[in-house]
Amino acid sequence: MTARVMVIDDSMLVRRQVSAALKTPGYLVTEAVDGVDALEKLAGLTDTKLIVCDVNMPRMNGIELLEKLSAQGSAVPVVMLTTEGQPELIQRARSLGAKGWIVKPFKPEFLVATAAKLAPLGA
Amino acid sequence: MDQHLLDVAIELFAAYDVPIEQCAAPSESGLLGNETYCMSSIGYVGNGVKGVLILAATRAAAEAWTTAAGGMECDLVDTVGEFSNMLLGRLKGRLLKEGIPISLATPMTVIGDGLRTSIAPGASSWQFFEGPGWHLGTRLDAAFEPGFRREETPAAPAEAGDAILF
Repeated sequence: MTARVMVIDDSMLVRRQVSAALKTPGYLVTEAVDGVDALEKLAGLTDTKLIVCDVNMPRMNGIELLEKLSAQGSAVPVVMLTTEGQPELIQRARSLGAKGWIVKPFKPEFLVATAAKLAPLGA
Repeated sequence: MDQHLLDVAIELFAAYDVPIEQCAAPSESGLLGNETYCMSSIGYVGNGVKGVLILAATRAAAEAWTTAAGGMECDLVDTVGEFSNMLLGRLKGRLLKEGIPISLATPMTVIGDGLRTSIAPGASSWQFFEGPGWHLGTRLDAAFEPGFRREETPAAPAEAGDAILF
């Protein structure tokens, strides 16, 4: 069995890096360019098991997306993947239900381990 | 701030196993001369300080960074934008430790031949680096308002590469 992960980042480079890291162990990966794109795609996907999301993005940033998902009552775990490391921002994301915070550049093995913990394959 | 920019540039590329060394401006006409191919800028603002980080790269540099980041097919504009984002992100962490929290905008990147920039207002200086067969330049503009003061008891930020599960 596999699991779908949505990666949300305005950088194609980062989306490709995350996709490559997660496809290797067997995850299906859907890409979105920002929070607006992500919400539109999530509405049509009912099998998303994990979201990996940047913070600084145009139209809708990662924190704003967390607010929207929280308001919707979404149960999909969200991990932030960002260059930001400010403690107040991390705490804000945590209070909105984020499950983790990874600072770029990321180590693929850390990302895969995080995915395995939050959205194990075969579960 | 110049020393921090120097340090984080070397750190960032080291994280991708790309050694770089500081060098003199590679062109007498300034910047990277006719080889300036990509340029990314990100604005930032803090309490009493604002400015822009500029990252200029030759085409060979942008291609090398794309390869170092995994080699996948990718728009060079995107690569340079993301590297400028990571560079300012690392700088932000250092400034936060010194009581200077800043917020970042998203990068804006252009591609062309012989790109040049306008003269920066306030404090500013270019730093140049060379990698294997390519050059890059970085410039950090900073304008401090009268009465600017560092914040007290700055909290330690998460560092590049950190992975935290709540």
